[in-house]
Amino acid sequence: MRERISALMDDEGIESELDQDMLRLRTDSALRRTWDTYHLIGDALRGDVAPGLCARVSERLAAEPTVLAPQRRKVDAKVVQIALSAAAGVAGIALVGWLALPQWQSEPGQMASASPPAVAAIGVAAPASPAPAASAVTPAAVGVENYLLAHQRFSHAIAIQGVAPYARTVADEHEGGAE
Amino acid sequence: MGDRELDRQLVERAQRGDKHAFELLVSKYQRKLSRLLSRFIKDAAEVEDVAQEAFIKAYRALPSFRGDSAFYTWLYRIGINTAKNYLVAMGRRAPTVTTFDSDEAEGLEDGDQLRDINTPESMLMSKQIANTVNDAMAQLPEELRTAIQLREIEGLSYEDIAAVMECPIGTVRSRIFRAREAIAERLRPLLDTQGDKRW
Repeated sequence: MRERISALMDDEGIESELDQDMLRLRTDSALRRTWDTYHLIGDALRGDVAPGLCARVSERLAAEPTVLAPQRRKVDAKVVQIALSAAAGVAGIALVGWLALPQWQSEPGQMASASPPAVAAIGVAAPASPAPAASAVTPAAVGVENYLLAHQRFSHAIAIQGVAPYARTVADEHEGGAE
Repeated sequence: MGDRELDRQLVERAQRGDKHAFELLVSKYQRKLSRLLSRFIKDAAEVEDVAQEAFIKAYRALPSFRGDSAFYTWLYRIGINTAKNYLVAMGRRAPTVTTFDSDEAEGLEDGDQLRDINTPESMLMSKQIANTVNDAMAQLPEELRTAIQLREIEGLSYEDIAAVMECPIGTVRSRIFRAREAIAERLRPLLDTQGDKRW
C-alpha cells in the first residue's frame, strides 16, 4: 500500500484505485504519516526543511464550516471530441457542396452557350443575304470557334472539359503505338 | 493519472466537503508556499502564520476555484495577496510581484494571534532532518539515489525517468518507493520524538 501512496503522490497512481487510496489515507493514520514523511523527504531534497503546518491548519479547518461547492456538469472529453469531429465533417461537406454546386449547375448552360453564338450568327446572317451569307458566316463561326478554343483553358469548367482532348490523344497514341 | 490530476481530484473532493482531502493538499504544498512567502516576509514564524492563513483562505474560497489553473497557481496568488495584506497591516512594504486582487483584500483579521514558534528547538530539528536525509541519500544504492533525484529534484515523470535509466516504468516506481522507504526509516526515530508536531 505504501508503494501505491508513493506513486500516488507523484501523480503516477492508478485512477481506478484513487477512491480506495483516499479512503485508506483517511482512515489509516500510519499511512497518512507516510504521506507526510514522503513529502517531507521531497521538500528536504529540494532544500525546504521547515516545521509543517498541517497540525495547525487542521485545527483551524476543524473549526471552519464545511465547504460545499456546487458541482459542475462534467462533459465527457470523448463525447466532445466526437461531436467536434462530426461538426467538422459536416462543415467540410457543406463547403465542398457550396463551392461545387454552382459549377455543376452552370455547366450545361455554358456548354450550350458556347456554340450557339456561332449558330446564332449563322442564323441571323442567313436571312439577310443567303449567297454572301455563306461566305460571310463561315469566317465568323470559325472565328468564334477559334476564340473559344483558344480561351478554353481559361474557362472555369476546364477541369472537366480538358480531360476529353487528352483522353482522345492518349487513345490515338495508344492505337498508333499498337499499329 | 496525468500531471495535476491528483490535485484536481483532491480539490474536487474538498469541494464536496472532504476536509481530509484539503489536508493532503496542505501537506503537499505547505513548505513550497512557505518558501514563496519567505521571499517577502523574513521572520520564519510570521511566514508560517501567513501560510496558515493563506491555506484557510484557500479553503474558504474553494467554491470559486474552477480548475482553470493549477491548484498551486491559485494558492500562490492567495498566498501573495495574504502576505501583501499582512505586510500592509503591519505597516511594512508589500510585495509588488502580482496584481492586487480586490476579493483578496481582506485584512488579516487574526494577526494578533501570531506567535513565535520559530524556536531554537525547531531550527535544530530542521537541521537534523536535513542532515539525516542527506546521509540517507548518500548511503542509497546508485540506482535508487538516481531515481529519487530525477523525481524529486528534476521533477521528471516516471516515463521520463524510465527512459533516462533505461528500465521499465514499474522498476522506476519500485526504486523511488524503496528510496523513500530507506530515507523514511532513518527519519522515523527523529520524527517520533516530536509527539503531535508534524513535520
